[in-house]
Amino acid sequence: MSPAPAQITLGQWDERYAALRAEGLREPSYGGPLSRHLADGDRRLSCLRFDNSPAALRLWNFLLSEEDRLFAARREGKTIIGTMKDLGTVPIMAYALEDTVAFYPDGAWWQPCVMELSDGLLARADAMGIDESFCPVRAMLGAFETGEHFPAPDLLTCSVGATCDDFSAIAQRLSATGFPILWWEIPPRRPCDPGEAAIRLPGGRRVSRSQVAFVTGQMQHLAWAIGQTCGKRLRRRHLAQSIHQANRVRGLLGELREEAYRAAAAPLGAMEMLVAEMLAIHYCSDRDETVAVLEDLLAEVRRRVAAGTGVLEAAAARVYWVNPVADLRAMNLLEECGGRVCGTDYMFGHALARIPTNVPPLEALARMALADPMVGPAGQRAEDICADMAAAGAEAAVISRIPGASHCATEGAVIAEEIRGRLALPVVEIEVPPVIDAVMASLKTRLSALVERVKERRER
Amino acid sequence: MKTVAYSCPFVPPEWIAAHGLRPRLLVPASLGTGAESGPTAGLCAFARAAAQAAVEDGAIDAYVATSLCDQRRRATELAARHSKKPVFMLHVPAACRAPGAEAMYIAELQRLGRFLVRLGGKEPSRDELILAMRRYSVARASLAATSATIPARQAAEAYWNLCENGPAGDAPPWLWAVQREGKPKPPGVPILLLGGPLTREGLVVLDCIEQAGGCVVVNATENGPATAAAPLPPVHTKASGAQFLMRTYYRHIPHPFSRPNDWLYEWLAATLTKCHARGILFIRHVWCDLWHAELARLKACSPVPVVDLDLAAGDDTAARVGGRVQALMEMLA
Repeated sequence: MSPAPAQITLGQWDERYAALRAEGLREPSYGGPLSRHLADGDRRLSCLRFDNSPAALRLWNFLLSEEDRLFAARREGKTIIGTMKDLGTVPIMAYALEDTVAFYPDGAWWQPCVMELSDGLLARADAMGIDESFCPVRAMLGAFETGEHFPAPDLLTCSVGATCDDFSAIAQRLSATGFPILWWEIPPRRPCDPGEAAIRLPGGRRVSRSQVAFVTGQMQHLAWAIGQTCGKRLRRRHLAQSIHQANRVRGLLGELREEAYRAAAAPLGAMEMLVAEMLAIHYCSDRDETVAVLEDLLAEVRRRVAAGTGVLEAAAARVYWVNPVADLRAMNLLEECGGRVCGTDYMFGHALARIPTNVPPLEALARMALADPMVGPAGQRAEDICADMAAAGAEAAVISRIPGASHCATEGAVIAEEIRGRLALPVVEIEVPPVIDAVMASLKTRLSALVERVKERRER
Repeated sequence: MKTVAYSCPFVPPEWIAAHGLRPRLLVPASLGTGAESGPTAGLCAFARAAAQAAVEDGAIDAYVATSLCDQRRRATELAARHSKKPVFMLHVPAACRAPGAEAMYIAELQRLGRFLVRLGGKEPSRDELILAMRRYSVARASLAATSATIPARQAAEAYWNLCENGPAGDAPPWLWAVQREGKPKPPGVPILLLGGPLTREGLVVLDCIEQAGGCVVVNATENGPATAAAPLPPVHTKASGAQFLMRTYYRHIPHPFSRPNDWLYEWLAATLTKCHARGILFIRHVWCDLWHAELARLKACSPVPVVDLDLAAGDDTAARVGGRVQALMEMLA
């Protein structure tokens, strides 16, 4: 008989894993006990509490084996495209071609957390003049220099324009150290001027036709460059098929979010949901397997919802979470304080929305890129967050600042003002460094206070 | 006549002037005390001060901001949230070699033109625009020649004066005043000033250099005279006025925001050769990632010593600057 849904430690997972194996658990090639990643240096795992389902085991193993997958792809002679900053757009082009793998070097921002700073990546960035006043994504610089976390890509792309200064500056530093970058422009999304023709974006925002045409031109250039790198032509039908598969991932994730965030008792913890959401942007370097991982998770969540069970008590405060965290431990912490995540804006809402299929593929991708919440005004993002919070029945919001990130200096104030003004709900703004141990007490106090306010409001 | 303020070097004042409106370069008095209401942590004090001044100054009718950096874009949005003052966001493409980047800058200028017309301006003919450009170009050239002979503070103020009051003809009275009343430039160790924009209070940097025995031969701060638009080339071709603006502004002004930003370093190498500077004082505002990230590369490739000076709201500017300038001069002694 399966144990009740629960969050368990790494040690407890070892016992659970042995039991599952004894029961005949079948795993993909990257499977195995989670504790083996600890032996590889992923020290943070020993501080986290994981979901106890086989679906979660598969998710974690999939996430933590991405480096192996990338190096294997290199050995197999596949073309590797490093796509930076756009969060979900360029990989769809890369995966349209066979034997091509795309990944986000940006993902290295979690390395200092996962390895509890033992990787030395931030120290390397420091030595390159990119100190702690920059976003933790600076770890990417060290990762490129050491070559230990991913192979050097055959093509490196980066979106700039309406992007955060940190990333743009760090990528420029990378370029100056000898990693050529294909830069492409994403302009800030703006309302139409009087008389300008408008186009509707995924998510519902309207933007001028001229902006869509410009970004479509950027997509054409990227498609050409990817084709050149792979020695193949990226045809329209390849792209259409790739968009179809991307929509399959997005559809699964949409269902997963709907089931998990709307359920009375959270069927899956916030940390696993964060990792699952991240799959939509980069597929962990294997899109087919991403589908399988998400299908497993969705099936598990549906089973739990049908049984009325979950990993947290139903009375947990329903909290909406804004921005991804540099330390995954923060998500556990909210739950320890009596909260649960009931909705999120992890800065890549455009990677969750369905890509239009009734327009030419490159234009569809351009529309998606322009729908990025980070390329528009913070006020628009705040409006979207409020609408999402209302639909999710959120009782409070956590705005999680990323240390040093340029957008975090002002957007928190705008988002908090909108939430308080439109929904009259409590908001707390916290900063989550790559390892939160030093600020754990203050974070716990603030998150607990937020949960207490929610419970007080319920009693009133 | 309505006044349209701007604070970014990629906004051409002659474009505003040609529309029959008064352009005004916005130079904040200071970076503030650091105790202002609203968000300050992580926010570039210059971006904040400029956006705040644009919105609060009753003498300004509209503000043209740019997306040159995320700090500017977001600080402007924050400051303008509860203001009815018209604000125009001009996008200056960062990926300067991407297809369509130059065309987009031109399209953005044309969009700005339509905004200026809605504000009460009049669309200029090509000849009117070229005339305005020529006046500014001549005035900048006159000022550049004069700047070589007067103290750095006076040269900076004269440049700001030009950007605030316009050229007013080929031989403007303000330039005569500078030439007539200007003190001679003090001799000293030649220094190149590079980096983010200065406030009026920040001009103390220039005084400190001269007091310490230096001589500012090039002021290439973001709102300094050395990073102004290129001189207007011959206009015999059929190129539109906006195309000339693209060539003299977008293609010419050295700035770290471009991707890639090699042009900044090419320009710097050429300028160092020409001006014989023996040291670089590098100015950046705390939380300005674009300039900050260049420091290590600059130090690695500069043939002359580089000293870093970071400025923040609430600083005792004179004391901090004095110490850093002294450090630079000692390195060069």
